[in-house]
Amino acid sequence: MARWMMGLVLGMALLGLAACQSTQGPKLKVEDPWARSSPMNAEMGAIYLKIRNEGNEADALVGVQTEACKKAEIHETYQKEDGSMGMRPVAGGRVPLPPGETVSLEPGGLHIMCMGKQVPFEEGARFSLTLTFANHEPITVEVEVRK
Amino acid sequence: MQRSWKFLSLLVVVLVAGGWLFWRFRPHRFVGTVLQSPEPAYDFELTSSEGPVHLSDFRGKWVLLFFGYTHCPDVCPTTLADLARVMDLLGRDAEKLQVIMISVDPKRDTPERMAEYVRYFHPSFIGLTGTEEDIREVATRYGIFYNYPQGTPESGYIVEHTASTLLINPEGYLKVIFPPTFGPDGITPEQMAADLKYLLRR
Repeated sequence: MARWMMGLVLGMALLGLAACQSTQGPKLKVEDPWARSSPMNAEMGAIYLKIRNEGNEADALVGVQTEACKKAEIHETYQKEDGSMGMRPVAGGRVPLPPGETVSLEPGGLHIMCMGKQVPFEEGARFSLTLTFANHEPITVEVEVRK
Repeated sequence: MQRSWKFLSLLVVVLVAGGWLFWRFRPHRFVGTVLQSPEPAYDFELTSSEGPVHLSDFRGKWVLLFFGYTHCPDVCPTTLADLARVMDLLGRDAEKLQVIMISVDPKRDTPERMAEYVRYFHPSFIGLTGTEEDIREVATRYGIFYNYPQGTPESGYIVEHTASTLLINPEGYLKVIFPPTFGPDGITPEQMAADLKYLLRR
């Protein structure tokens, strides 16, 4: 093969690789979205899931929307010195997602607070939920209601 | 040669039998904190959807007390779901146990609201509420803290409260305090059921 051709092929390959690098950035994966089943007379619900940042840049979860709730916010459960527990919105309304790590929203910790349930949170029910991030495009997942 | 083999096999049998006996009759390790209360637990009178309820109504049964409120999305449903799981794990022994949830939010939790809420998790669960004074008295007597910090207009106020579960024995004495079933120091329903199985079979 002519020398210049090899050079061209190599150059294109490197360019291709470089293009891959620039779209690397944050790569987020949402895993195991589920909601706790609760009676209809309880207006509040809790949704849990895991977010894996497979990329090499930090990102953050900044919002949640779903038709299943009048309003959805990111909350955390906390414990005081006397042992009592409470819940509050997370600072700044955002959850940092460090690169290479999985952040877990689970019972007793971070959770999505569903304020004003619009659908029954019965075991087996499903609804869609959209997560918005600082640097990533929104991700929509299907939440499964469990006991 | 014959004799040493006989001796060896006898030794193995003894070791295996001894190990099994030790395992079978080993003392149970509790995940809950076991107490020796000098006095019976406070005999409260609170309100259910079916009228007044006293702790003493349940003499002869083990009672699991949990303090929470129905506007709580994470801690309370998690605990009640886990307690329902414990009931399932206990099988026939579950008949000896009564789960009672007492509201720390009497302003919003009516007796009917409490009943509808707890029965969703298990048909046998009882939900109680009362006047603010009565609730404050019961919680204090049981060492349960609760507090109303400022809330947002949409979600209303939350209640900070102790999330432990208390076990009272059939004679009316507080016997075990279980930590929450979630969080870093949390116990599992399986562990709680193991503690209960041990006690219920006394």
